[in-house]
Amino acid sequence: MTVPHAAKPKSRLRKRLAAWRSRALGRFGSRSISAVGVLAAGVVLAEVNVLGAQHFLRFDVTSRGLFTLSPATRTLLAAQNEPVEIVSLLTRGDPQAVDADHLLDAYRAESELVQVRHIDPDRDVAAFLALGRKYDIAAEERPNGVVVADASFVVRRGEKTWFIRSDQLVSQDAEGHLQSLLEAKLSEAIARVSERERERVCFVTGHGERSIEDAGPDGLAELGRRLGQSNLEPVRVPLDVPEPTDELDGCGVVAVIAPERPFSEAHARVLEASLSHANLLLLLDPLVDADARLVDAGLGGLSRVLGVGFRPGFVIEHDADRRLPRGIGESFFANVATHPISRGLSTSEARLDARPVIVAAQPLLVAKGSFAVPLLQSSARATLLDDLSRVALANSGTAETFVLAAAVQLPDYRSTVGPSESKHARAVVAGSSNMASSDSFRNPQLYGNRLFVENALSWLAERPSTTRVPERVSGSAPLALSEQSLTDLLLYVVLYMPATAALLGGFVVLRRRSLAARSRREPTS
Amino acid sequence: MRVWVLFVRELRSLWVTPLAWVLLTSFLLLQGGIFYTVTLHFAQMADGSSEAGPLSAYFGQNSLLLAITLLLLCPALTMRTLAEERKTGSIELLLAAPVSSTDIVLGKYLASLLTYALMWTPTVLYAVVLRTVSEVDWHVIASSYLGIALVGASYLALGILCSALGKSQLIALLLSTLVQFGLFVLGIGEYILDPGPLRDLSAHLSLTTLLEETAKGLIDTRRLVLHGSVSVWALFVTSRLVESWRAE
Repeated sequence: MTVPHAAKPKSRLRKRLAAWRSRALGRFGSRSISAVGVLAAGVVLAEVNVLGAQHFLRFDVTSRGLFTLSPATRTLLAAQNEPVEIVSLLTRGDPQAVDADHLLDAYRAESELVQVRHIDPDRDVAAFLALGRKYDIAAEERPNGVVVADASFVVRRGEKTWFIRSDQLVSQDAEGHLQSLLEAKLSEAIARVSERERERVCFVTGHGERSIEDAGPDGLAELGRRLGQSNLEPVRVPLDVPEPTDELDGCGVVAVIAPERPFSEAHARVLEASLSHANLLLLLDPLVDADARLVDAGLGGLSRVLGVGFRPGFVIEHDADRRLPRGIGESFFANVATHPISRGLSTSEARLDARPVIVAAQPLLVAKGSFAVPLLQSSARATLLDDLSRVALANSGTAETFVLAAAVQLPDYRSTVGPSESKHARAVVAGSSNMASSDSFRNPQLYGNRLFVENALSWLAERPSTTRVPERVSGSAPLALSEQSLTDLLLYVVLYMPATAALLGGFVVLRRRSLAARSRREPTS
Repeated sequence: MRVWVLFVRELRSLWVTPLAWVLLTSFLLLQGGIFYTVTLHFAQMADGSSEAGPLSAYFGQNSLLLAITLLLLCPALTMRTLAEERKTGSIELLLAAPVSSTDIVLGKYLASLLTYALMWTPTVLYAVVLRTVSEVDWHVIASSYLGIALVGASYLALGILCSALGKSQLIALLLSTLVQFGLFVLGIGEYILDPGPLRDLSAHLSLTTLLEETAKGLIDTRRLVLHGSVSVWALFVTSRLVESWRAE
């Protein structure tokens, strides 16, 4: 007597599936079942791709790690706890666009809190205009047809915004090799908008200075508004208070714009002390008293520290190519020297449509051996009017080149009146204040003025990057190809290789045919 | 094992006929011409250095030419896989044999894929030749070929599906070219369409983006998922179709 085997679980399952299948086939037919299967597979295909698009990884296999985010950037992104949006304003025709896309994808792959939006000023006109209106970003078409916006990227988190210009994206080393700063600038922007505190730009008052609350054409309201858009906080700081000593503490940049009265010794010392923790922007018009006499601004001590002083008087330009038609020559286009602050302005090397207009300026005295670098100068045909009672003789006097603005970077500054800590103090000094007026920001013809002031403030507000991102060397080594090499290459790739394939193919086909013919003959023989 | 037998059968049928050799010769002639033109352009550049080298440009920045090559090659390789067998009636013998539909489809697919890979293999010599006169990053070369392999995998799978749908080689060729060209055009929408879901879809499908990324040395899992899933889906649908012939 045999005992039947107990049915195994797998075979029971198979039997059940087979039974279900045959019932379904009988009811719906095999075609219907297949169609459902195909549709279901299509849905799975779509779902897998949607998930794959949301959660993806990127691998950089280049030997130089060109597309690998640096450890500093990865650390920065890992520390983010709120979404940050990066708006790319590069056009498709921009040479940086493709690499920027790859880098932004890498940021997104690294952190889901990074949101990327592309607005092409050429094609997404409405979106660009809306953004441009909000942040006052303009676009222009270059001669090669590429449309370039003021800013290449806008990085924002909540109300905080940081702009990255196109000229900040690459640098050139001494040998002329291009180095991409894209990752460095993007990471710095993310770090800046993540900071709790905004850098304060303190506008000093108490001596008749222009106000950031003055919305008139000569006021500083437009400048204040733009600073706010650039993640800087403009504040008004009056020095005409009983104890002004600590008033400028907490300021990153101290701005003195167009005082109408000289500084007292106490106030001048406060300004000098602020150099220990802040950078200075001094835009001083010539001071004239009630008797129409030129007076000193009272900043002699500060001038000695900076190595730049003021020479009372008005610069009168006599070069017809530079002076404006109105007045006696006190309004004119300045010559621009090459410096990071003059980036984007027309210089002797680069003719661009951006020249600063100077109105009623006093010249600067640059001490020999000082760290001051001239930024703006008059032509060699300018004269100085230092006696207002002799305006009619404005055309006389010795013609010379006057320095109108200078940048100072003191490499190792120690204040004699403030905390004694070494600091790279920076200052931008100019003998005229018209460039900072709201008119300069609103009038397209005064774009050079606006650019100069914005660049100056950017330079002054610059801080060491919080992220150590290495520059990427872009570009490949040149080809060492002679004419003979090219000819050999042509023969190899266009003649030898295809010919080899053709001969090999011919051999295989003929051999097969001969074998087939032989096999047909052999059975009969 | 059955897949292997079918694979060898299909491979032999491809390479003992003039078709594969004609395709290979034409392909190498075309690719050689493109590569030489790209290299000549770089050799003539005034300052001699640029963002990308000739190999990167050949695999990626000239991706329109490369895409067109793929659009011609893949349909031609797959047009006769199933359509010809149905027309001649040899499919009946295959279906009667103790092999599953999946085995049949996989065998043919793997043979087409290997043929595709064998066609691209001689182009490695371009990098070898260029190595004597310029820097060559072999990792990037490998990544470039991965991109080409991904495209080939999905396009060949779609080609086999079209071959199953078409009743003759010509119809299979036309259908396959239409489908693949349609996908290519959809991918170009990335540069044309306004921002939105459709542009995101185009960017996801974009063939030029895939080739450009892999030519630079970037491997993105989105592309792996896309082409892998399309290949699997197309082969699944083909095997269901073949199964339905068996039922008939």
